[in-house]
Amino acid sequence: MNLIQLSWRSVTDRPLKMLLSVLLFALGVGLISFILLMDKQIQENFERNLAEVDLVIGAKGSPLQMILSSMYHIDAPTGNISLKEIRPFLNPRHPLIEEALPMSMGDSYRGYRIVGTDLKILDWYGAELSEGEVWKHNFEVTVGSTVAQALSIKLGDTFKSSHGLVDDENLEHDDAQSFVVKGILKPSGTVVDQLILTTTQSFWLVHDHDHEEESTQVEDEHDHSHEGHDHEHDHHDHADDHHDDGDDHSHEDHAHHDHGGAHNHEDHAHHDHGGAHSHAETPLPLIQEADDKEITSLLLRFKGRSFQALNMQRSINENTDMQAATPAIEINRLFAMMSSAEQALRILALLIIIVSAISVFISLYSSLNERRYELALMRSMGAGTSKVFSLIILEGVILAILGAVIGLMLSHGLLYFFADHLREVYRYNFVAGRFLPAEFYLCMAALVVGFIAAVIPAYQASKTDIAETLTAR
Amino acid sequence: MHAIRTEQLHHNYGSRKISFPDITCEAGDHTLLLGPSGCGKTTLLQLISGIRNSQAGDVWIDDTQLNKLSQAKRDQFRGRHIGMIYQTSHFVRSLSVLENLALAQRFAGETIDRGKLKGLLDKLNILDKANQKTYTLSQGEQQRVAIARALVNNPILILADEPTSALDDNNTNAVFDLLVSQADQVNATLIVVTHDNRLKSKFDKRIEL
Repeated sequence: MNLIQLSWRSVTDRPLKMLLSVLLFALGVGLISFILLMDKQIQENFERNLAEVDLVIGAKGSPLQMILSSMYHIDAPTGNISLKEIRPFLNPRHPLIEEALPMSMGDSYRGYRIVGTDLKILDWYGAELSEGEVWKHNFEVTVGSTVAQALSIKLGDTFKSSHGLVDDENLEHDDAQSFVVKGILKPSGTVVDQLILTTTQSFWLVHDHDHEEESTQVEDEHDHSHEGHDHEHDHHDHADDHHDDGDDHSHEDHAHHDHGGAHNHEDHAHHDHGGAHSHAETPLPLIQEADDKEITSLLLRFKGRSFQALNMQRSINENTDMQAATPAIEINRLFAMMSSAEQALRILALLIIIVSAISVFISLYSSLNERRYELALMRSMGAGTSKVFSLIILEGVILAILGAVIGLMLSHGLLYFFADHLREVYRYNFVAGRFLPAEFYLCMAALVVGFIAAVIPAYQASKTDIAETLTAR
Repeated sequence: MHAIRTEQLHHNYGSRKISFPDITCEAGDHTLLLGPSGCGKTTLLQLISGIRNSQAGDVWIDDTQLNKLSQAKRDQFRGRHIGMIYQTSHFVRSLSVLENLALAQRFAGETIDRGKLKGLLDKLNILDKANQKTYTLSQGEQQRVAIARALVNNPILILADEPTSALDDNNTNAVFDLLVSQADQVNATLIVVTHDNRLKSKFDKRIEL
């Protein structure tokens, strides 16, 4: 029966009186911890997915939206850009650009985004194969670990993509060829875990297909207003393709037609056009595709940060119909916006903690009156004033720690239950079981607050006049 | 060499000054402290135990001059060597009977000896209440627990302030007999303050204030 046990017993002997203090503490600590967890994990998510991308080029619009959609797969894309405009940046001999990664977006499968891109994306994000192989031909996909897990995807599975980024069966490209799952990636902790990767050309083929029947479906599709901007744009996109290809071409034909038209024979030879037509072919390097083909955005890595590189961004923004933005700058802008909202929440949490400290103070102070006999008794049994002082302090600290622990359980529990929802919003697996060093300091701070709240009651208790108290009849 | 000795004890309640006669008790003595209400019986007991500071005069318990000790040392000495029993028994509400006794051992700086505590409760016929909260016990049972608690540390001195005034006749006799016999067993000096006529015949040595 040491002091800690004794104070624990005192606290738990009056559970209802202490409940309010503990709950307030839990609320304050829980809120702060939740903010910390979200903030930390969101920041890490953004930073980890920067993937050393120096510049993003896409259709004009909000630069932040372009970055969020192309790199984090959160927002809707700003639109498309044509190969004609970006061809210079695809040139491997470009003096400033080390590598360029094309991104085609706008389709999804059961809520997970399909991205038409290059195999380089795996290196950029440090993703590795877990089983199977990478996508080499059109309509082959390699899926991120989260997608595979969430949708129970296995090698060899086939599926049809949906138009748009939300899960809606009505928007399925049901006439287009099915995608085949060729590989599954290991968890990389990056946004790639949440993606379905395929070739850029697959996107074009799906949409050309779509387009063939669009003549009968146009009105129908227009009704899908929730698709908004994204849909509008893609739709426009189809129309362009449509024009070029001409109605008389079958889709197999036009695919080859494009290649043939724009590219040299060497490549042509490479490409096996003979025999039965299927989309499962090795696509051309993007630089050799036709001018009018479009992608959503282009991610660039520079050879080094230079004056010319900075100029390139300005020149794109001023002289082309495209925009260029620097991820780090846009993300910092986003953090700055988030931090003011966070600040407000933090202040609220601090106020709650102050109120909880007052509540601890009041409940301890008011308990002194009914406990004056037992406190005097302890003193008469040999407990010095310091022991009685410590006893009450410990009670305050215990209330604070209880509150802090319940608060942490609340915030981590909340994160656990909302992880699925948050993953959809942020394309990131939130880890509920992860504790931050800051949370340890939070507990220490709670302890100090509990201590401070208990100082006055504890002093009062230690000054209990044993003789007067025990004589009172 | 007396177990308890007071010299020239005075206490002031505002302008009212109470002077106490010098008291001496031999080790193992049982002494009754008698007097009308308000004459300072309780105050004298508190001065002897050191829970009230003496304003003038000395208190000796064995070789220790209690009024010369610091507050902390006096608290320690009391916890270790003096058992106190009050008119209405007070306990730590959140603890069981056994834990209340254990607390007395702990505050005296002793290690907790559950066997001994249970033995005491057994002697006082309340072992079956060991794990109950004290407020569930009857007045008579509570006073027995208070006696057990006073005996826990084998005190030199037991001070009992109106220990039976809240009890009926049957309980008064039982509790008082227990108090005396247990004090004898640990060879403690016993001073009982009372105005209860039922007890007056029981002690040979009386001090009238």
